[in-house]
Amino acid sequence: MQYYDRRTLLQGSECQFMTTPFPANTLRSRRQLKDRLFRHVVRTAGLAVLFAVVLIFAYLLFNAVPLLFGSGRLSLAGIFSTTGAGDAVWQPAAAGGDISVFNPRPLIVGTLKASLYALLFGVPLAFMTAIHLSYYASAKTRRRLKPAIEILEALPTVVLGFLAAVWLAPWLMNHLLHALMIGVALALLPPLTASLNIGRGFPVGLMIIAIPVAAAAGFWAAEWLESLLFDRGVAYWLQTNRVVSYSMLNALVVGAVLGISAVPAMFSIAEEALSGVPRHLINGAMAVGANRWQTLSRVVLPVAASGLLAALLIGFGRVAGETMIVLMASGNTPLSDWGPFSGFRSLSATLALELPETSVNGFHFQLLFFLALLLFVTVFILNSVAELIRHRLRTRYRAW
Amino acid sequence: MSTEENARPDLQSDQTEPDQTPSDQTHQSDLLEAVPPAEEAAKVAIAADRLSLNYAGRPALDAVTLSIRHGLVTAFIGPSGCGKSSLLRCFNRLNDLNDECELSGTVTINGEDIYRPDVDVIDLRRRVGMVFQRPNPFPKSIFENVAFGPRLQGVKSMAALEDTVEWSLRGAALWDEVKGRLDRSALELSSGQQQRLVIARAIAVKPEILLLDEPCSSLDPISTLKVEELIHDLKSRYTIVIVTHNMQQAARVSDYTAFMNQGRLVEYDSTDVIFTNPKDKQTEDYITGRYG
Amino acid sequence: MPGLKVSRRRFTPKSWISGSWISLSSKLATGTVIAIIVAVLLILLSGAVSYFWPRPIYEFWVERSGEAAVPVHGIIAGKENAADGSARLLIRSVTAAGDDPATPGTDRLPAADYVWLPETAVVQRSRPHHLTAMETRDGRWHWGYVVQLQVDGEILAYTGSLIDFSNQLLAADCAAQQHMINALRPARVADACSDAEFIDWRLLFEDAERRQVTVAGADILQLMQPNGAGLLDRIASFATHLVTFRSPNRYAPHHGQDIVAAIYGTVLMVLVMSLVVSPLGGLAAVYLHEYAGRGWLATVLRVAVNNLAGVPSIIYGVFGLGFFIHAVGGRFDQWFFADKLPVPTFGTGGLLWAAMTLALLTLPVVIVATEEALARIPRSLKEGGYALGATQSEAVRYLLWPLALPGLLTGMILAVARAAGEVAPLMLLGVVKQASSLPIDGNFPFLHLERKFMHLGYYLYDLAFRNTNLKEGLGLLFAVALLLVVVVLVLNLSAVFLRNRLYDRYRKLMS
Repeated sequence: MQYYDRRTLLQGSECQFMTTPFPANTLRSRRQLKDRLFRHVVRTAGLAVLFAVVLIFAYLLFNAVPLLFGSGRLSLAGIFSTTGAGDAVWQPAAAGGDISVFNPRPLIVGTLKASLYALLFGVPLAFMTAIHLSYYASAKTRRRLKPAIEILEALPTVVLGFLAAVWLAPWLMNHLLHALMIGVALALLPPLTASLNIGRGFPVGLMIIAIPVAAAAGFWAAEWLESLLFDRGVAYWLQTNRVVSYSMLNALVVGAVLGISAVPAMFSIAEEALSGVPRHLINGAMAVGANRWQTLSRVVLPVAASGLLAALLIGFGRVAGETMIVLMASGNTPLSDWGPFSGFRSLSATLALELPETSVNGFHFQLLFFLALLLFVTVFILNSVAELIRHRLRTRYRAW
Repeated sequence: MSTEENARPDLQSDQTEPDQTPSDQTHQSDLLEAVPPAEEAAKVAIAADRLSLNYAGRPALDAVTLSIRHGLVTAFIGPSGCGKSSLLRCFNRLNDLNDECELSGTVTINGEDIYRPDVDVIDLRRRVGMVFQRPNPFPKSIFENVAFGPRLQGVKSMAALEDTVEWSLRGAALWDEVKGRLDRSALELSSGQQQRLVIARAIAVKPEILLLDEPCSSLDPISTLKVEELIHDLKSRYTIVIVTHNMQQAARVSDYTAFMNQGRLVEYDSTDVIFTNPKDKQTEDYITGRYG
Repeated sequence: MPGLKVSRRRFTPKSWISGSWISLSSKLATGTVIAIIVAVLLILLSGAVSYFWPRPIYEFWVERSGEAAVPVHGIIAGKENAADGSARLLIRSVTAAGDDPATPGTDRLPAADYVWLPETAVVQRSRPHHLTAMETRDGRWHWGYVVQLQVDGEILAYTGSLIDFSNQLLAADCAAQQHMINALRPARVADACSDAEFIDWRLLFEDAERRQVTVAGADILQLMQPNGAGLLDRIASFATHLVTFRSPNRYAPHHGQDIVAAIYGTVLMVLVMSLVVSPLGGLAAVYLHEYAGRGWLATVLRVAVNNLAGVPSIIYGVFGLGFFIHAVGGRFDQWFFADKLPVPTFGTGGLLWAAMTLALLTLPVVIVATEEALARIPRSLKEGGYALGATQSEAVRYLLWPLALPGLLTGMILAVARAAGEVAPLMLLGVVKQASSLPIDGNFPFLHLERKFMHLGYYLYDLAFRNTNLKEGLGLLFAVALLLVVVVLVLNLSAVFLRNRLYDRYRKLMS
């Protein structure tokens, strides 16, 4: 290799003054072609994604269109009307051309029922946890527990549904009273400890002791009550009494597990909303002498309210569309009953069970697509509104 | 010359004597007055004419007009936010990357308007190299960093690349320090070495002009010294424009200095004049440290 | 300081809604959520463990309708309170309880089956130490006593305890000892022996009804006496079961085949899905980050991606069924496989359509993960590239893409985790309980994209639906569920780990 002396390099070579003008961009050099090609490829990918979303909606609509614009029995109004046979009924198996058995009302009721019970269980858990981790907990606790909650998100819903159907449902039937008493015991825990002035300032780790203790207390209370009130056991009474009709796979079971499955999603959005409350507002409130609770209730919660609403909407969207848990634990009986002890059938479960077996483009097929469209649009609206709220919140916080 | 040509200081590249500009280019002749006759012909490398720049409505440059001499080091000084870096970035059209940027006026390099719609920006950027404030070596090996530009140009042969890498690194006064570890990651170098690596990378594509945007501001004094020495060596081969907020550095390194304030060019003259006998009060206040 | 109020805590009704109540409730909620997560994992673990843990064998003396008590050997599989309040036991046993007679005139033992025994009928139950459990090659279990052992025609002394016997063998340095130990020691499965080591040994097995049958040693997979087994032996047996859980062995080729096929199917489908989703997702993310700018198209696209993420998974299944299977698949069949019609080839559910639909489903995950990685790359890097005269695509390809690749990988791992657990859409797209053949085999074109396939999550769903209070069958369910959860959790954790490594690298870049 030739030895280059820096001096010779810099002095000996010609001092190149720009003798060539900048070439006009008319050269179709390979580099430019490659650049253009790449740009097209990438843009195609982006548009393909957009196209896919539109396609999903369009395809559902396309298949449901004959129903929307049909007439008489085969129209939208037609299917929702009930015949003289009484209650709205969904029984495709019994269909022999008789369309009255295709009333989707029980399915819609089922979906709403599942969502309601799920939110009943999930929202308090998610919001309270969010309040704790964003407002009360130390940074160290928050750092440790947030990822733990996200693990719940990763659990496949089929596993949760399996546990609901195979473990929770039989257990609940045999131990309904126990479940109730454990719930009561846990609910009494905060007021009791508050009034006795313990537990405040203790880390969440205290719960490792507190929850099992409360649960055990509830368990024993239930045992005692059961032996007092039911001589043959609660399960026996549930199956033979005439007051309450109890099916093992019911809304309570589904609601509990479904609600739990929605907790991570709702938690993260609620937590985002709560910790997004500008620090100086909180400091301002405390500076005028508000205690932690007053600051929370009068400053933090109102400011974060719309974010909490967004979390609720997202949770609703998730539980309305959830399939596996409902499929495995609801019994799939199309009833229009809102009670907690009866089963139900949701829209999503119906789609999963019946679509593989209907003939293509038959009436049943179109109706199922219409129901899918309904579900899609509902969840879409819920999610969009929630996103809008979050977007507004983010821009609002930035301004502050 | 026609009136049209009078409207723009359009100097031809083959002139070999001091400009005989028409009399209405008064400020132009002001500039040239300071050139010592022994100096080589005042070829203009970059000329900006009434250049104005807006970032999303916020003005950054206001009707800046100046000419950068070929083969010399020109320094831009001024308080922070005065638009020095923005002006620099106009010269290699890096401002194009910013969607919110609006530009009016002209920039000519070698007499050609570089904002013409059919200009090959890629080639422009190769020939007008830039070094940034914070060293930004690629997360690759030292060799790959320097070879990046030549590879893009189509140089494939390993021998040619090795050659190029070697003389670039020598030219940047880095070869002796890294010659044994060319395939180690560039991020392992100290920031002074990284900045010299970036300079080597820039000269590997054989540019004609080098734009240095506060190249020493994140370096320690020893590295700064090395880089300044380097600039001195590179001066005869490249036209260099350096932006700096260190006035002593400007005084040490440059031949011509432009003082800017709030987007306007306040004074542009040879470095001696600026630092010993500034014509504008603002310049004097800045030099003497009344504000900055 | 004088004048400052000192709060005195008293139990007043107001304290019910005071701050500390909320504080404690929120702590309670957090604790509950964590407790639920832990509980789920523990339940799965315990259920799975119980499936593998060796159970005691009982000897029941059963009295039926006035007759004399007869012995029944078996294990307890469940217990139930019948509607009239009485308890009954579910027993897995040889059907010697009299319900199904054994096939007469054969030398084979009848198969074990499940039988309900009312608890009142059980007069006595015990766990004799020498009661032996034997698993034969055909996968069946038998319970009874070993009466005699023969090696090479020679009858050996046998005290009734197999452990003692095997110890005796060890001491006697008998030629049969290795193989015998293989069969007796629960930790060693007969599979480990090659044919050459087989020595002709056999045992005489007597069941509860005093039927005696000679069983050849080569037909025996496991011999156990769990009632007397110490903890170490139980653990060894547990480990064996665990290890051989998923693998078929030479003698029981169907053992665990279902699960293997399900895993195969899941892995194949996920592979095909990754092939589709990673280029599409990666390029779309590059488009969003680099090329789309701030125009309306970029906003619309981001909205679209966010909405894709929120669509219920079953809707994807509906779309896949309608669009991919009927519309596209139907066309495929008309163009390429018209000779096979009306039997559909691609016009019905199969691996390809399932993979493509799941690719759509997991697209947002990949796009978001890649975009996140891209957004963390400092601008100065790109500018450095441009300043050297790189075109936009060169800057992307040579500078940004290598750094975004780990982000894409993270996204892919998360996508795979999601696809492994997602069952609902697959139900419409061609997943089956039992596949007659795997989608990959030796026939050209080796990868059969039109075949139906099995999926681990669906397998779990199907098992759960078929479950009928069978405590023992339940064990398998828990094992499968645990397997699925472990796979998904490992994937998620590795994605998180990868992401953290990414962040560290970027921090080095910025410094």
